[in-house]
Amino acid sequence: MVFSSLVFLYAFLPLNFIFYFLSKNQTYRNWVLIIFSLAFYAWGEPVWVSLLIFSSLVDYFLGLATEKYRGHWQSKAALLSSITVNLSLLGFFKYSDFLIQNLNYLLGTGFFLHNFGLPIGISFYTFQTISYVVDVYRGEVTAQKSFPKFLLFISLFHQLVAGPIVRYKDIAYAIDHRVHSLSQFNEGINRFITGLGKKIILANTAGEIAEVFLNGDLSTLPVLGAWFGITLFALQIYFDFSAYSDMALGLGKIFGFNYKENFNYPYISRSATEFWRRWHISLGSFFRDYLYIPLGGNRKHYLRNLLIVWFLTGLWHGASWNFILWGLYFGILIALEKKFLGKILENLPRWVAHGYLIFAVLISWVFFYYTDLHSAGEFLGVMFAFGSRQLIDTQLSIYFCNNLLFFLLALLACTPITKVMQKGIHYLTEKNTRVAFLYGEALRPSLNFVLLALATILLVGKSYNPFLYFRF
Amino acid sequence: MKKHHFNLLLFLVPLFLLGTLNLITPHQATISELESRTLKTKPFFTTQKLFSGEYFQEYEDYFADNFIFREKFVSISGKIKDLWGLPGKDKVTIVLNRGANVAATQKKGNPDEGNDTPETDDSPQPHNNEEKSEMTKEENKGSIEGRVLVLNDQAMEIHTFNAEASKYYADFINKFQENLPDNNIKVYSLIAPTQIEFITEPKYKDLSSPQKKTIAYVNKHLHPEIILVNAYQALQQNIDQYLYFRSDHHWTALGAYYAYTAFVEAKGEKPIPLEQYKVKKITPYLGSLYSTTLSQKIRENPDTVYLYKPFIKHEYTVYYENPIKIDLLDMRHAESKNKYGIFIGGDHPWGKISTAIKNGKKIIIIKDSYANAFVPFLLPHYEEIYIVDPRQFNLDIFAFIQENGIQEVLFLNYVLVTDNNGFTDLLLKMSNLP
Repeated sequence: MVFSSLVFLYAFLPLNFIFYFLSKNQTYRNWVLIIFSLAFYAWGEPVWVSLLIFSSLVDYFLGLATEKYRGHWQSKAALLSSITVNLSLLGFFKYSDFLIQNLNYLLGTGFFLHNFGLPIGISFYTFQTISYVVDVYRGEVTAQKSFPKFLLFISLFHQLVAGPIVRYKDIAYAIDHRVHSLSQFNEGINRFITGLGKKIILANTAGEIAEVFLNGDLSTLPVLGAWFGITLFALQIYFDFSAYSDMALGLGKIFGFNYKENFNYPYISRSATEFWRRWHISLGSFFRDYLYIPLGGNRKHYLRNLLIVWFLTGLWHGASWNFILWGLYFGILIALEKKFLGKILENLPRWVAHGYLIFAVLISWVFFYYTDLHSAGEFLGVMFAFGSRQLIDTQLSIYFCNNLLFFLLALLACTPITKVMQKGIHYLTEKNTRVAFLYGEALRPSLNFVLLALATILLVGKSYNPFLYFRF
Repeated sequence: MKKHHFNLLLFLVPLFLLGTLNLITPHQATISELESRTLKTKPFFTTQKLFSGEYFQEYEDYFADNFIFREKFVSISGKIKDLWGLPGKDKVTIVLNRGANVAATQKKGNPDEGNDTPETDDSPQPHNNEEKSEMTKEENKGSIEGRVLVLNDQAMEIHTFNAEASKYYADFINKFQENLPDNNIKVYSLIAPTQIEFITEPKYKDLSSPQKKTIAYVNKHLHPEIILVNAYQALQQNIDQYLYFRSDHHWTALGAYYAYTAFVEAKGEKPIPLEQYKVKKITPYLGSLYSTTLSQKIRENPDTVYLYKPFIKHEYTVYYENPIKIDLLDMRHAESKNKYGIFIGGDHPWGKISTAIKNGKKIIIIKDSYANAFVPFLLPHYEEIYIVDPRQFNLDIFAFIQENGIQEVLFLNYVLVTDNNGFTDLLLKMSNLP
């Protein structure tokens, strides 16, 4: 199931609220969350929900073993077993077909693909379980003694399918001692609705327009059409992904969990290094804490470590060469920035550095969008006007004029303008309780309501599916 | 009111209210006329569907299709898009067209008894199994099926020239001609241009490939034995008349009439003057492209269907599993949304018209729906007219031609069949040709 669906909003969530808030008993509430989370997951993965439970069981026991034998070889063995099991599952389901395809291609062999498909969220929850066992091994947390509580951490539907990658130590306390309050619920709603609006109004619209330019006939695409298309894709992917994190954070708040921020206005960055400190923060910090630093970090084999991390960051996003290239591309930029580029950028006017980052990121999204490298190359050719090409055509100008206000709104929504506005409101509300009341108790709720209504209408509108008998 | 209560109420009340209303309103199987499809009903539960994930997918479609206030919400959602742009002199938009595939889904055996709603079981969006990033997993990168230009109150399909697919279509006709049982059978090719070719605003002309060139390209690749019908010129000369619908992708009966004059002239005969026909008027009509675009301007200015009543005595039979006699201008469709379905009663696997003209002449028309408005004008010229729709026909076409003693074959399709290989693939499959 996804948050941005009618079934989630108008069936799953109300039911979840009713059952959850029926009793104040923490154990009862935890069970409600476990059952609803498993149902949420099973809705999309009726078979592989078993894998989720299996994976949780294995890591539950290995976590206990790691702790029990602390200081002995068994502890390390348990840690290694956990990492092996988790990575094997991820490797089998996500990467084995890719590996077989490459082997078949290189060696001319004829191994069959298993074609199991990718269990939803497996990349997220395997990383969560790995971080748990490693943290137990490092003595940063105590192992969870109760399996249901451990399962709750893994399966919690807020972050299960699209992150953020939550670490056990960040919510360990909340599993047993979380508090619920009206003001948390209130904040949670604000955040959830922000995400819902971002996803359905901004991301989906940007995606629809982007598709016209990215997925149409590249041979007649004008130069500016390519730039327009990839910019819209950049907007789509940011809104889509950060909206999911917003909704996760919002739901977490409602149910008493505080997850860490996963995005921090990445497009205002002035270098690739900064971009990755602001984009998908929970993934970047995972690789930093559990791979880059253990490998030696900046101290030894710096370049090797960097390339390994960025190779894997790319690969994590999808089992295909284009994602690997995409990751390495950022790795190289970050290495260059560390060597000399960063210094230069710092001394240039700010807008030049901004321009550099936006340019670099837009190019990167080309590799991200096109899973086959041939199309990516062709598209880059259009962007840089290879061959004789129009700069602009009628289709582009129609789309541009018809979506100008959307485009401006979307660009604005990438900046911290709302944060600045909130600060301003906060400043005002500190001074004046009437303004505080007006905003918190009337304006913001009304805005939420409008966004919820719009999102619902657009979701219903998506089901409009005229049957066209003239298409073949 | 206590602090935060209002925010909680405004969030929770809609969730619970709409959730409950959805639950308690009865959902019968209903037809969405606008969309020409049956709305999804509650899926049957089978363990197989459960484990394949299909059950929950179907349930989500069912939930959305039967959502409370759906029709209102759909109509508002269409208007939201209009807010993103700047107001201009012309209202111009391009709408993407992701239609379901009738050829793959139409069930055989049941002639639509006044109900032009084919059943469809496939999910709304094309599924695409290519490897995707975790982040974009739920999104469909399905290919664009087609584009529609809406220029004020007129919607038009955009044509994209495709050299390979055009040649593929021409090659099919050549192959078909070579495989005919008798060398004396004449083969005609009529490619119907569409309305977008004749728009006058030069600004929007470059959106759609020039159809004159496409038609010439196909003609160039046809065997010299194949007789070309220049419908283009006949339509162009009369373009100031009402030749095309604004809300539908078809031509009007008048447009079809001019194409007919070109055909008859290509045969070296004289067309019947239009004045000999009695005219009947059906209004208002909002066609297929209105359904696609839901354009407000088109709704405010709907089309009119003019019918030219055949004056030759005839009998018309359509063949599914059993033959069924229907009217050539099937007025059951006049009440429905798809009024173009009046012409020969819509698309059938095949049909046969026997006329009172006992001249022994027999023609077969292999066609898309453009031919439907065209066929009634042929009555004065033939004793028997066979109409074949490649999307549904499943007999041996060459044996069929031989057994029925047919002497002429007409391929009548609109120019967009050359945009991709899809339609030609159906033609090849129908003819058992490689």
